[in-house]
Amino acid sequence: MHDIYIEIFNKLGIPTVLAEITWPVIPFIFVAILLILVVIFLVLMERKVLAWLTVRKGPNRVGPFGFFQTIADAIKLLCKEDIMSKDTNKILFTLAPMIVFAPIMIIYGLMPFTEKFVAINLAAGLFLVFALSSITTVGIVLAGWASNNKYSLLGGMRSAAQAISYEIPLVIAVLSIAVLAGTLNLSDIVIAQAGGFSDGAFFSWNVFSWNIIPAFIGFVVFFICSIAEVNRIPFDLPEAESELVSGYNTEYSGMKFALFFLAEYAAMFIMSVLIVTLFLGGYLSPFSDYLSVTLFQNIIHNQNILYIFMHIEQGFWLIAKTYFVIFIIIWIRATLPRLRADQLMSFAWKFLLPLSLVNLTIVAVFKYFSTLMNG
Amino acid sequence: MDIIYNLFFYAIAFVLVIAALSVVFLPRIVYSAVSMILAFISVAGIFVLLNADFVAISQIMIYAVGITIIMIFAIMLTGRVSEKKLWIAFAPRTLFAFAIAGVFFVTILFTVTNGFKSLARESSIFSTTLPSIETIETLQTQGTTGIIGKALFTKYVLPFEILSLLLLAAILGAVVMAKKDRDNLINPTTRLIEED
Repeated sequence: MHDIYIEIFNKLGIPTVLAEITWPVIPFIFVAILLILVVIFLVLMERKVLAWLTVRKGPNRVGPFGFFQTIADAIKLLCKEDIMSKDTNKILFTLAPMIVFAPIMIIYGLMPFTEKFVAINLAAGLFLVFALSSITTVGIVLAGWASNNKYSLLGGMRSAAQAISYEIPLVIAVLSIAVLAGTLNLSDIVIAQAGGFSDGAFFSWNVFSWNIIPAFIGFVVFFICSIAEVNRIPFDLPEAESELVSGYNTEYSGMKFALFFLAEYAAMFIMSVLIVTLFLGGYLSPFSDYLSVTLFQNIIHNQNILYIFMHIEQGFWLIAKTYFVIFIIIWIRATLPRLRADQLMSFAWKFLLPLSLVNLTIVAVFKYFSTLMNG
Repeated sequence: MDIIYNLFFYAIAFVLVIAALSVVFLPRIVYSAVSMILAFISVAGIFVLLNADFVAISQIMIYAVGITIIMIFAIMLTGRVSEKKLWIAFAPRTLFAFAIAGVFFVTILFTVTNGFKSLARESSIFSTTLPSIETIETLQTQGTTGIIGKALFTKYVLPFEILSLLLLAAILGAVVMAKKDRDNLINPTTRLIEED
């Protein structure tokens, strides 16, 4: 994205220095717009899919098929009074939603949405994603403590315990991806999944070289842990409404609550993008070549237009795969009941952790033999 | 570019100093913990300016989150004892702390102002040659993770393994210490037998 931006400035005849100075603002604007759009759509999708799974109608009053329901909800939240009860710790109470929200916003900038559409392309991007996503836990704990409410405190404590326990199998599952790709750069991890299994019409499809095939156990572990990381059913103990009212955000209202809400859905989206990027080939098409290239290469001979088509298709594949993963997460929400706190811990430490280590061993052996065969 | 670099360095350094001072001087321990997060993240920023991306991210992950979350946990579990006044000037412990901090400060000042220059020349511990521009460029594009990984598993594999053994011993020790009481609670007959 950086290259494209500088190129546009060069073509317009504006000095490069100006482009370099204004550049850091662009990813933030990009991220902010993307985040709002994604969350608005995601909330509507969740309510619609959940309604469909439980044989209800879902939101259907505002706009055609209830499409503007989320926008109406957002306006309602913006207009609401910001209540702060007397015994809260005012400074930390205000700071906590920001600590939760800001890191997730930075993670959006690190994701490779298409080949060129990466706001910040870092060598250690994958590592930074997990470092930043763990900061949100601090915010949740602080929110729980600053509310001065026993339900909030319990929710915050549960969230911290859960995040610390589930981060370990999560990171070990990701380690197998680093072994397979040989890099921590998210764009390079995607590129490493191209090429297929061998030459030939069918076997050269990209599906056969996606990381999910050697690291299938890792995929399952990562999927479960990422649901736990974003506090969703069946791992939503931090905000279990039947026991803790609403957990760490019980005392929050108005825009501060909206920030928590936004962060939760944004984290869910980003975790799905991460699952797709690490295990399901990211923006790569599942076939051996991009559909738009195979379809139009005989009709359109202009390389630049073909290139733009290819980019749009990459974006399409990423979004399609991501929403498929999100659909599964919502499906799980509609199907499974909540875990108990002790089940939660023993599941992470006694089941997922050994499983992730087994996965790492399998992947290491696979990598050893595949490099041996390919020379 | 040099001006931008300096600007960022002084901005981060200013935030770091303010945050570090507020860790010590703020009246409530929760505020200290929060400003410690800020201090650790500023240190990570300085590491980024030095092209040490892996160390910077580790700093965020281990210190800014891991360590502080355990501290906040401890503060929560001790309840409202944390509301007590922490900072008392001219108490014996304050003066003692000042003495130790002063010794450290003088040592660091001595090192930074090349007080150890002759020592460095003799023992070549402190290498004074800067890395070449090519090295810096490869570091900026490829990151330091690969280099650190290779060094850890080839040249420094023995210290690395010894360190991991030490950490394992610490974890096992913690488990044993935490488990001891529970055994007595669950099975009081064994305690009776021991007392006999």
